[in-house]
Amino acid sequence: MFRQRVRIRSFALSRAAADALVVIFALALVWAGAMLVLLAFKVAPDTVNGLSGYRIAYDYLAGLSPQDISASTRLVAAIGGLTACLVFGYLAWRAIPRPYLARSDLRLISDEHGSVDVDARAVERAAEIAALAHPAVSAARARYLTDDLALDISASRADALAATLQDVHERARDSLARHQLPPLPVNVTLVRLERPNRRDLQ
Amino acid sequence: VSAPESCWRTCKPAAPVAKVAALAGAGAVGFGMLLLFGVLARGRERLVVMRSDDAGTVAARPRALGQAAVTLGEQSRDVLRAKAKATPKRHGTGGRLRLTAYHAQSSDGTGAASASRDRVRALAESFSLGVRLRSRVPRRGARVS
Repeated sequence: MFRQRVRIRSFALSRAAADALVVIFALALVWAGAMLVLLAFKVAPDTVNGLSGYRIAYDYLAGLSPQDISASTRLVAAIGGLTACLVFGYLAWRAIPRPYLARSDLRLISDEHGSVDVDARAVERAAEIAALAHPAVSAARARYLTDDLALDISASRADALAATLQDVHERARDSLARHQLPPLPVNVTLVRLERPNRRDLQ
Repeated sequence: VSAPESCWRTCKPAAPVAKVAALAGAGAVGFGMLLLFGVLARGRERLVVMRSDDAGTVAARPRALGQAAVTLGEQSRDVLRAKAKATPKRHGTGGRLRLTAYHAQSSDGTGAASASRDRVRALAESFSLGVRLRSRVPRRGARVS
């Protein structure tokens, strides 16, 4: 099969949580690094401590003893830790990339008598021909991506561009319906405008 | 060997230690910036979206939209040449369009600007673009077509 493409399913919440964690870690790294540079350049430790509280935090943590941590504190820490483990464990599980082939034949029927498949290129060609039927479209290229159909077009006229794109979208959807294909979402993108040479007589 | 408790206010690091600390600190800052850049400036194709719903999306690449704006802007008789740049919004539909119309020194700049604005109005409205228009006189010796 030609033009195989691999797509990766991703879970938006996992991605957002991972990004947020990386941003927090990066900001902490920049902040701590800046404090370290200040100390290395012999800025007064009191000033750096005033900015970051690093010594206050160190002294507080170094001064802790087992008696300072009460039973309720332990309970809160345990519940918080368990919740964080479950939530972040779930998000980490969902964040694992799951690649799959984006382009495969479209199965229309499958039963005990056999199956009816439509080649991916046939679906793409149906959309391309519908788009090219529009007089303002000079080139069209479709990609069937299992979940949707991407249709990139080049236009030859700048006026009524929005109407052209809307019309091409409608035509592609109608073409899928006319060929009794499932009503896929069609993503029409204008990728190029072919400008006539201004030196030519128009 | 640990330093005495009270030393941290007064102790000055030895030169080699300070050098290593400075390098480590600068490295941490650099790595942090790199991580931030990687997360926040992730490369992705940005499109000017006109419509998006269950039936699909209708969108345009910013460069193609800029070409369309230039073509429309140059249709005015007063405009010698035009330059345009379309910038999509981060989320949702629409974006911004900056159009510069170059006109002859002898002609009226306001007229050229308003003529260009009229030409691109329909395009801007259909793509929900905010238009910023400037009129300029081309530099001496610059190409005008």
